[in-house]
Amino acid sequence: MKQPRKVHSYETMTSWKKQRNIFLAVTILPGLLLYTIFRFLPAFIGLAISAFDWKGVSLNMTFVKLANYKKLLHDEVFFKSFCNHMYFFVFNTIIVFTLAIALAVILTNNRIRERDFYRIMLFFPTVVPAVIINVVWMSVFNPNNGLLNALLALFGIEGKNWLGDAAYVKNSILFVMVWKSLGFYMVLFMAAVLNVPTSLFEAARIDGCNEFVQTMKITIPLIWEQIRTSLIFFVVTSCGVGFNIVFMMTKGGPNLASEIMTTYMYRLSFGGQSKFGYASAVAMAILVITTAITLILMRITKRESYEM
Amino acid sequence: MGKKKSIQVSRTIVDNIVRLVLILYTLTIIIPFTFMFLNSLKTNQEFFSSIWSLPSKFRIENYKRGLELSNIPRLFLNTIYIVVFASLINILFSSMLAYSISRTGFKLSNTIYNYLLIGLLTPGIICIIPVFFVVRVIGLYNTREALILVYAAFNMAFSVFVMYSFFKTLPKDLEEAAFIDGATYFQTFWKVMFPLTKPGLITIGVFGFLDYWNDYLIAMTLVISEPLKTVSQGVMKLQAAQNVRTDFGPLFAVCIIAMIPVIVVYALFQGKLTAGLTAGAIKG
Repeated sequence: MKQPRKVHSYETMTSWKKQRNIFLAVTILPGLLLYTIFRFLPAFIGLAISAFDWKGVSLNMTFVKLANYKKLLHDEVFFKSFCNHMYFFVFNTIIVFTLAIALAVILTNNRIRERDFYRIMLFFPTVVPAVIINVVWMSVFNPNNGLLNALLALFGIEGKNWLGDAAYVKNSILFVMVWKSLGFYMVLFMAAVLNVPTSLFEAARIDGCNEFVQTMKITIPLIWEQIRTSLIFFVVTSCGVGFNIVFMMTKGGPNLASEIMTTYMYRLSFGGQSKFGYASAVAMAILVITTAITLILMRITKRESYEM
Repeated sequence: MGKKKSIQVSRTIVDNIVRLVLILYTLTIIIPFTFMFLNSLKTNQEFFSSIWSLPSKFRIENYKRGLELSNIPRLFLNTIYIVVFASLINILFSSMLAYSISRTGFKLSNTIYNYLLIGLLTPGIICIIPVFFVVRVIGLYNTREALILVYAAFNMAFSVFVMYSFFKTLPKDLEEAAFIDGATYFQTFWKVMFPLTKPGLITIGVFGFLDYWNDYLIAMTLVISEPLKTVSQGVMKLQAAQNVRTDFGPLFAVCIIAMIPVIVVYALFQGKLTAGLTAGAIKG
């Protein structure tokens, strides 16, 4: 910001500087402090706690150095939860992004007139509280009086125990995860696609390109930066979304079939086992794994960006 | 001509297949919620006799029972108190911070920006144990104020980024004109710039509201006394109880009530919500 033009004398200059410094302190510090205390420092405090044994009742802790991490390396439950976590993550990401991009392209062509209806409906699961999504889908998946089994019975198909049977639980939960996130990313990509100048498509049409080729060669390269940023955003937020769905619907069961790293962390700490130090080591592992995924994705999705 | 016509016919066929898929998918959203609403009006006998039956009449017994079982008014008051103050703090702090690092030429702007970026690139859930620790150390464990501060802090990075990119789009002459007229920094921010950022404020306000209203993880970790609990906690507790009783009507009724604020906010702001978001942080 430029200094005001009518200020000339040294005295007024210093009083302006002083005013500016006060202004900067008053506007920056409150937000920065709040963020530092409750969001930034905790990551480091977590690292510190992971070197202790902490029951969580009082603030007394015993220093155990790297014992928690050594335990982690031989923990079969952690390994299992890591594999499940990756299963959910990989399929959730692929399905959500493929469908969201495809739907965004389809809904932004002008032939589907009722597109606002789909946009509003598909975005809706994003805004519904997690606990209600849990109640809704538990009642749909209920093996005795659930909607899904009743629907299958109409076609003569035998009902399944969707959340109680290790063979089905993962994909039932995966479905709810996709269902919860799809609309949000579809809407993001719709806005991005609408920003692509229509003249480009007209030129391609004259050259005889069909819509699939146009999507692959024009739309996706032009919205690539948005896809990339959304992907990173997805990696970070899907951690919390995944926790909510698994924790509420199955608590990681049956017999660990749907346990993911975040629910394991919670079960170790607040969930009754009171091993807060060990749970913090799990949290650090989640942080490292998520960051590694983010960095890898940033690298492999790097492309030349095109100016519109 | 014939070729053009056949392309058009195949196009309509493709369009209708797409439409069919979209409608089927939309039904996975409409049917479960309709099912929940209809069942909130049915008696337990009606519910268990046939899943496809409609409620015989418009009954509100389940709503009354749901209110008795879960103390909804108390839960609502707690949640509203938390949401209002978390929103005020988050909106005020984040817009001030975003203004100062985007428009004053402050030397540390970039450092602060990158420092906040860390909060956007790490999942909040890994901080839950240390946040529990911090809140206990400063003596706010099991208070609603802990939730206010933690919510406002967890959303700070996102809000600052939305506001930052929003401030960047405003023309520079605005402030220069204000300074020439002799306005101070505070006056310029508060009277000139802040009112111009309404679309950005709506975006961060609505996303914040949804985050706080919908949160369960942080609330269940930091608040354990019944009179201080939030709506989400009430729903979860009722679900556990009604699962044992196998009486789902009151649970569905409470869920419908708990969804009303969210539906109202979504109905009012759905257009602006997505517009503000795409203009803001994600596009980056």
